[in-house]
Amino acid sequence: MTVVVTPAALDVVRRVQAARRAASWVFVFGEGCCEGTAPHLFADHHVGPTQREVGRAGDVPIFADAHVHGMYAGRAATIDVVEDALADGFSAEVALGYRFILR
Amino acid sequence: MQEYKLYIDGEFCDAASGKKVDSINPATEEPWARVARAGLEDTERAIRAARTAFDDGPWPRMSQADRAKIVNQIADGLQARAQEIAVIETQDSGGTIRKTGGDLMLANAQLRYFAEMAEKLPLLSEIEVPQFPAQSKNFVQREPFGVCGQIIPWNFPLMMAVWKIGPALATGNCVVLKPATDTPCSAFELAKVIAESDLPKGVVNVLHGSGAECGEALCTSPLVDKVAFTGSTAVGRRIMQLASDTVKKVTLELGGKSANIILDDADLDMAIDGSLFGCFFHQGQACESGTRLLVSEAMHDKVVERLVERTKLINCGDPLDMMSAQGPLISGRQRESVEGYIAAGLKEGAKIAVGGKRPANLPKGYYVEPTIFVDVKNSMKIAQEEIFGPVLVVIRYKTIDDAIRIANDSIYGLGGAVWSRDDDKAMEVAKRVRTGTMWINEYHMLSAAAPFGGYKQSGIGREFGLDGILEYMQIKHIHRDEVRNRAGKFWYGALFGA
Repeated sequence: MTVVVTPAALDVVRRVQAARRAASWVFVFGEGCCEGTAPHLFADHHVGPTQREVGRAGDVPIFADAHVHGMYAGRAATIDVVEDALADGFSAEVALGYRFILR
Repeated sequence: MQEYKLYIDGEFCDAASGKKVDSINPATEEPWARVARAGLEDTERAIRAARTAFDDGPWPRMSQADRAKIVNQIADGLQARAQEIAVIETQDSGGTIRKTGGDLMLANAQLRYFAEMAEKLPLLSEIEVPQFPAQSKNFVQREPFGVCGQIIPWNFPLMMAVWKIGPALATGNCVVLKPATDTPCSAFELAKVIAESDLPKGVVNVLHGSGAECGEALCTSPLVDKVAFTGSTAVGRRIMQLASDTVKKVTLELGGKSANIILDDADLDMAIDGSLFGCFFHQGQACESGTRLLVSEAMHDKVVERLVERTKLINCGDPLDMMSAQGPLISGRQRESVEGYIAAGLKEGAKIAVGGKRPANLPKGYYVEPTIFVDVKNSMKIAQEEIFGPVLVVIRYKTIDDAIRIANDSIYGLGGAVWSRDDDKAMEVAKRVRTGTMWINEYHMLSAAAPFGGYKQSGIGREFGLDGILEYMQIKHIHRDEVRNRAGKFWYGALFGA
């Protein structure tokens, strides 16, 4: 699984980083349920041993756990961004009215 | 358009930022209500209100009987407005009126059950400590846990609010409730009912805002004692991490990919309809849904043929119509996600036996046809991830052992069922599946009296029943000296002389 990021998504990542102090940033993925396999951008988030780096958004590493990684084995995916005033979820871009999506 | 405000410290108020957003009716794709959108400042104010109500207010110190009276008052209020709130929830969530009407009926009964259960629970009970016979008396005291942050999803908006605040209130806790941003309206209707009851101000606060702002603050605030969350596993993990800074108690009810096993001796008429209900109820947007149907090689073709026949009869349509069996999904975003899974299933080589498209007769609304995949391997994405839409995957098994192996080959363990005419055989299967709930010849029957929760990555802790009530109570050991003689008690008498 390899993940790339659109320029628009990278721009939002940078805006999130500018708006909030954090020691580190990381992307992880959901695995279904109410949020599908949405990318989550988290500040200061611990990444466990089953997580593997599958790409980078600027200086932000993108991790997928073994489960998601297996699902997308040998395939490329793209993190994009949409505006969404109603977005919920804990991903940091939501506070700025955006939502990252995986294509 | 209906307007809703935040409910903080007993008052309905605008967000500090003045921000409002429209809530969308999933059947029309049109805005139908306008709701104040809370930010960090509102969340902190709600937390402080709950803290003050807990530390200085009467609620945690009232008798269980007095608290039960007020919880029952809220149940009465909900019951009186049940139909009206069901219609509101249908417009806000797309749940059929059959479903939301049922939810409302259950919700007030569940509230009464929590009150009754808590009233029966002894708060102070003496325990035997054999190491110290006659030298002490020992007690276990159960106390309210404190301020609880409660974060709920959009699939059962009102009922889930009741599942969260019910046991918390019945045991004397104070609450900040965050409904999902897609479905806030019925939670604010519940707040109106609460505002008319004798519940002291600040005990329940309701916020409409995102996880990133309100949710994160609830998880990290040192003023919050416990976080209860229902939602996705990825966010559940995040919540545990966020709550770890302040070592909060966390209960999580997360995703599922539950196995529904039809044994060869099942009553097929019942098993077929039960399996469709188990997966397609509320458009598949229930965490305990039976989304993996396991059928033996021998029965496979026959079962699939009848599943397809019955599925074709399921009518999607206006959720306010009592005759609609299936309404729209919650949002365009969710429909895209579900359609993404359908495409992924095809790409991985599974075949669609029925459905898979948007209903041609419904150009408006986030509808997806009830969809059944065959030729599915348990390792496929559509068999491992929770789709949260009307998509059933059928997987063949060779033996019962094989069926149980497939059932357990999942990161989840929330629900599940087995269909058989042989009670003993069914019970054996039920025991061997690693999951929080197993139904035998039934599906979706949750009760406020029976514990519900997940094994594995489906969650931590239980809701409902005594176990669910106890999740909202702290336990204190009180040890009382019965020697009543200083000289005989401590080392120092022997070491230094009395």
